[in-house]
Amino acid sequence: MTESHRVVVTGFGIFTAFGFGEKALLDGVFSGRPSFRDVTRFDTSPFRCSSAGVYEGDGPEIPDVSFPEDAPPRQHDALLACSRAAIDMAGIAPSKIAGALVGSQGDYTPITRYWRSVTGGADTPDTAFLKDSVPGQLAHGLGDALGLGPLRMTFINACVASADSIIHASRLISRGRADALLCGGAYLVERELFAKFDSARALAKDGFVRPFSKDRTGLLLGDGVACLMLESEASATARGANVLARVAGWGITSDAYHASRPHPEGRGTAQAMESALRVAGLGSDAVDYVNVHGTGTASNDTSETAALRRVFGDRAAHLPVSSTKSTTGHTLEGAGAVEAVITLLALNQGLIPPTANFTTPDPACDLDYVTDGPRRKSLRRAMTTNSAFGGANTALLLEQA
Amino acid sequence: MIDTRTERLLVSEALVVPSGVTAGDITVEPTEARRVPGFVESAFSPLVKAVIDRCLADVTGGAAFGDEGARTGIVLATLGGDATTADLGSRLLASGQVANPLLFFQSVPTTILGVIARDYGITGPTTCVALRGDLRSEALDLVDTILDDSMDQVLLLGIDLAAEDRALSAQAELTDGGPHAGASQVDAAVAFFVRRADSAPESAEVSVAPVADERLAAFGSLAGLAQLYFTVRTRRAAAASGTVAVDVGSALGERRLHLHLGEPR
Repeated sequence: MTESHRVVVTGFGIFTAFGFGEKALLDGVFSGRPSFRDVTRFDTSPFRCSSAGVYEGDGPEIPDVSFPEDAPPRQHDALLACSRAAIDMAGIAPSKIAGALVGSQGDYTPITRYWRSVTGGADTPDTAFLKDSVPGQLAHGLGDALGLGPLRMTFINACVASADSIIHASRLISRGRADALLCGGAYLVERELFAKFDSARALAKDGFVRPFSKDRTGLLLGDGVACLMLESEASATARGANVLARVAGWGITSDAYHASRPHPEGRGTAQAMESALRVAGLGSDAVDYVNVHGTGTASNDTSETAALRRVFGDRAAHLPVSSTKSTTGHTLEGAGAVEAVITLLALNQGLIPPTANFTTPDPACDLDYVTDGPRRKSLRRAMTTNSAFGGANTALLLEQA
Repeated sequence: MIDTRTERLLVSEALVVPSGVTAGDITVEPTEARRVPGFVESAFSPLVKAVIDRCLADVTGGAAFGDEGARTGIVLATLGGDATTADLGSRLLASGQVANPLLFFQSVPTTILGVIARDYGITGPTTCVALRGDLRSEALDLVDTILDDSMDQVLLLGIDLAAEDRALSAQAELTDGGPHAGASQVDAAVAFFVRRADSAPESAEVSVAPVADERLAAFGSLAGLAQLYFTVRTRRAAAASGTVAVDVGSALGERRLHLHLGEPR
């Protein structure tokens, strides 16, 4: 990567169960406070689990987004609010942004409403916002509403989708194809996927996500929308923009192992991390903290632990590693972007967010998971990893500007 | 204006339309897409597996890649994704039935690509992207960008299912002036296996028309990729070698992609 085409972050907007913006994240994620509560936006009585990391109005409000009583807000509206925050923070004119890259599977709520109206015998199906259920529409709607340049892509690769949007934007900027791109992703807890995770008995029975803890009982879903403004360093410097961090490296791989289980030795995750280091031209000793996928399932925890040992060797035992899904829940397609913003804040605040809810060590997970609360540490570079069903893995390496 | 010209090797291609389709002088014979264990009800995943198996049949003989697997990527491009699974799961839930965890539409694309990656030993990037309008330009541009990002070969897969009920209604709502492709009328998948080209061999060149052929309207968002497939097949039938030029009108600029027709090895 030439210096002029180095990729930098100049703005972000984020919404989680803790509310909108940086302060909400610092008060919640960085203090190790879980956001899980009983879901009220849909009826959970048919399900085994009733908890998720959902926003219920007790944190900073997300601007211009309305919350229906029986469903989450539109993903489009939440993405728009986060994008505006990212663009405002970057101080860039929307016309200078080449396009929008979004990680989302599309908005499910209009599908729910459509089929509920059909099975309920309505004269005409409920088609309100039905176009948002076409995944590619979200990037179009966002780009059009903001007046961005013409590139529109929606990544639908599940829990690595928004990480992939950041990776592809970084590829395009690093090759000089674009000077500035908006990227990110969204998931807001809704009934369809909640029901499927519940029926698969994947949701934590005790209402807490406990990554790397022996008494873990599963994952919980969470609201998560985040957008980042990526630019070439040359573009940002020419504008006099405040550079928040560099995207020094990235990697995306496949396990080639199993349809739903991660590779037990973390092969794909390790290769994604190694790829990110290779792009950055750095060795593994350059990394000061890793924000891992950390879903709170046994197979994920042991696979990630093995991956970290493969990449960092003996140093892995002393490298701070944490899973912030222990506070936010699993934000699915939004996870890569949400956790990229958390990692960026960790760099800039010199503060490592903890793995919350940890109670009992698991002999198979023997690293430093930052379980004793937030930790002050000067960080030069930090990595964030994500994984998805099918064995897809991503890694992003951020460094201080 | 064409900004750049890129040389790539097109090793193999395949098109699968389980129902078969006839449009003007174009005929695609019906092909069975066999069931894939763990994927129920929808044609999406069997179709992905069938078209990739066919595309790679003469490349690997059905075996996994060796060391090249680490330098191989997969791109899945679609308009609607697995709408069948999404709709069936939602319909069952709306009618009060227990949710079937196998109808896990959120992760169908990555999961079936995980099966493909396992079967062929592919450990490079696998990505899934939803686009509006005809998929050809942005999908080929994505392949090109991944090849430039240290990969040697990329398998491109375009897939869409015939739009029904909810998907038809949703696509009818796309009236905001953005790009549109007519709804797919058939379940179809098309695949191209593309490699880096170390050199640009001198060979006769044919161009793919910039606008999708009206006869291919049944393919909806896949019409442009189907058109590329038929152009390549015609060229391969006429000569042992050749080049097919595609103007890739990506949103980030016009590029001319030269696909040199190589033989599988």
